[in-house]
Amino acid sequence: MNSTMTHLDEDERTLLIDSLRQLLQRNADGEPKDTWRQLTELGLTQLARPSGAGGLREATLALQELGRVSSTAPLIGAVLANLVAEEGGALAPLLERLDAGDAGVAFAFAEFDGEANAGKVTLDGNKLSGCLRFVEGLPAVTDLLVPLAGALAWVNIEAVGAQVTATPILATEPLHELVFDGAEVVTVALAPDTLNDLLTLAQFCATARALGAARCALEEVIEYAKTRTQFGQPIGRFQAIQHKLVNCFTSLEAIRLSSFHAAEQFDLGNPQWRFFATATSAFASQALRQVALEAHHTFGAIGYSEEHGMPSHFRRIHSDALKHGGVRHAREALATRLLGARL
Amino acid sequence: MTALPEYALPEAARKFRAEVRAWLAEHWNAERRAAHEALPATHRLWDPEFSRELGAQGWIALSWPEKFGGQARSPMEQWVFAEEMRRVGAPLRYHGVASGVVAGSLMAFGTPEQQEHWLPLIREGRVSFCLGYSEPGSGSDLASLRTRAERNGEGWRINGQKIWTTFADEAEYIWLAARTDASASKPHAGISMFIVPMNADGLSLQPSMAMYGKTFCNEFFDNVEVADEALIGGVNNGWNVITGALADERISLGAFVIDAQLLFERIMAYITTAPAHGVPLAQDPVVRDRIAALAAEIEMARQLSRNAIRQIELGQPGVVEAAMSKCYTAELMERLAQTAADLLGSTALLSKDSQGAILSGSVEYALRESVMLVIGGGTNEIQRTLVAQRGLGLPR
Repeated sequence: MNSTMTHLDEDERTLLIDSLRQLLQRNADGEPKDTWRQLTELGLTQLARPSGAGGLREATLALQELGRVSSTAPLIGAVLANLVAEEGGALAPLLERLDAGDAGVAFAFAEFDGEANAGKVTLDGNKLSGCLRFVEGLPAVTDLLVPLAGALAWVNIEAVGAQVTATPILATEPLHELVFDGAEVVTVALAPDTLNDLLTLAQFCATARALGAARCALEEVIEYAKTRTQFGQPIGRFQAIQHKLVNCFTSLEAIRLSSFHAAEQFDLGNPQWRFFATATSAFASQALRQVALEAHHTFGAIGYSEEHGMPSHFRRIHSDALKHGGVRHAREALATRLLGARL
Repeated sequence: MTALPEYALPEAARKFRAEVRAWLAEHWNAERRAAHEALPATHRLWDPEFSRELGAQGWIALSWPEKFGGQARSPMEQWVFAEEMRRVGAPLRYHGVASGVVAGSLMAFGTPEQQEHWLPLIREGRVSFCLGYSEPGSGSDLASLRTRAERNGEGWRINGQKIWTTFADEAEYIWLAARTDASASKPHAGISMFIVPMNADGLSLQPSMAMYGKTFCNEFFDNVEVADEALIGGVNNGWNVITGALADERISLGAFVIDAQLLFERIMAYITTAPAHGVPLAQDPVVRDRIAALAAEIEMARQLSRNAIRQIELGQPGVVEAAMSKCYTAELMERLAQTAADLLGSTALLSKDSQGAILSGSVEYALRESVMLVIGGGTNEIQRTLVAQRGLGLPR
């Protein structure tokens, strides 16, 4: 895997992430489609592509940047698409449109999701019917990749005229439910192991985005604790505050390190990346939500106002940490690796 | 797979690990290990003969600069060494305080004569120390210690009491912190370090036991006299000596995450083979959920530990990273033991030699030992305060 990938060195990685952060700041109030087009100009759609420049390491760092500003720009879909879209294959036109900034893709796992109510679709020849739920990233997302038994279906949402319903959720942006009735799709073969890898990566990528939001929340609350004065002193001098923030920092450092390590092992082609990625997701799903809670506790009522940045971090963290079956799914996947499958 | 995946290591560390494993297979073979593990807990991990063999191999001085006869190995190699030694339960306590604490202090603060006298003895595994820091009134607040050393002609006269000392009944010397200036402006400023023979006149021992099966001694100093050569690092410079040479300790401390990993792997091996009492343990969703949660936490502990080593390799102090690693791993050991007890029940509490004991009583032992990991080596509260102030920049 990934034998021809061009690895970035540390300076190139830093440059990419810095440019991304600046771009996201400039586009804080931009149109999602326009922001995504600009992101593709940085080369993000190539990350983790076997023949591309930059790997899963850069992808997870970029996702952290998106998480900081609670952006659902469809980078996760692009990363996952790179795992299945062989150059020159049936999905090559999709990659071209992604690279050109003309498309955004999301995966909809439906009954394979890990989440119980993610919808169900059937394929009749090249006609797709049924319902897909928890679809993220519209309107920047123009195309979907839908795993089915043994196959992956590619559908262009606009071309087939899906019935689209917004489903507001804890996250800042609503997700969408899409209903198809005989929509024309392109299919490629999908091995069961690849499907498992896609799910592992999907959860791992969502974890990276939640990590970004949690790190941003902690940075903000640490600054607040240094300056907020009560009882005649900064609250950051109280041991009750210091120790809880240290616990948060320790969790976030562990997740940051483990996330990078898993991504690095993926980039280097070590098959154990699956264990490292799943362990990261399994730990982070709860730990990141705890960081959100502790940050809220430390901010107190000031951070509970919707005008404050904290609620958006809280929403991003919870939404991403619970995706694809959350901690329950990740732990069962780890248990299967360690103790064998459940009979 | 009941073992966690190993990490890729740099070439030098990988080669060194193979070397250490081969050496251990010969020098710490199954027979010798079994004989050692059959000893009562009080005597385990203390083996002067093994220390001398390690010394002959040059590995007590693994981290020392070459000018002191060391091998100047990288932090990653030191970590690999500590991990391999722990993996087979090798007894390192005879030379542990000497190599982990005293040697570094001597190299940084000793006179050439002191270095020439002590360092070869330590390097060859021919001398043992116990640690004379804590007192009845001075634990976490070490700088408040009251044992005093006063000028007595050319030498020093020591009076006071030390407490909670492991292996004080076996060690030949005590590495002693004593107050030499009671009127210093700050408590830290009036402390000096001494090397005192445990058989000195006026030094008496009152043994007691700690919950993890090691001795936990009181030492009483009643007009104990030592020569001026016993003073290390100059008068009233003790605080710098104590805090100045901690890198080695940080590395070997970080390696205790391997203990958590090994215990976890033993528990998994048991779970996958234990006779079924109703639903097989490995099929029980509650067991699976908790085992997976622990596996993920051990992975986090491994990352934190490796990060502390990486910082030291990069020439950073790594103090904050080591403190986080210590806190996290020590509390993980508690959770691991407690969870194992939840999953395996009273059977896991049977002592090592009890009929029907499982996992050689290792869960029972870990329940007791893990508490010491949290409170020893700087309590976790002290470590968290350090991280808050030095890592996060929160006000003192």
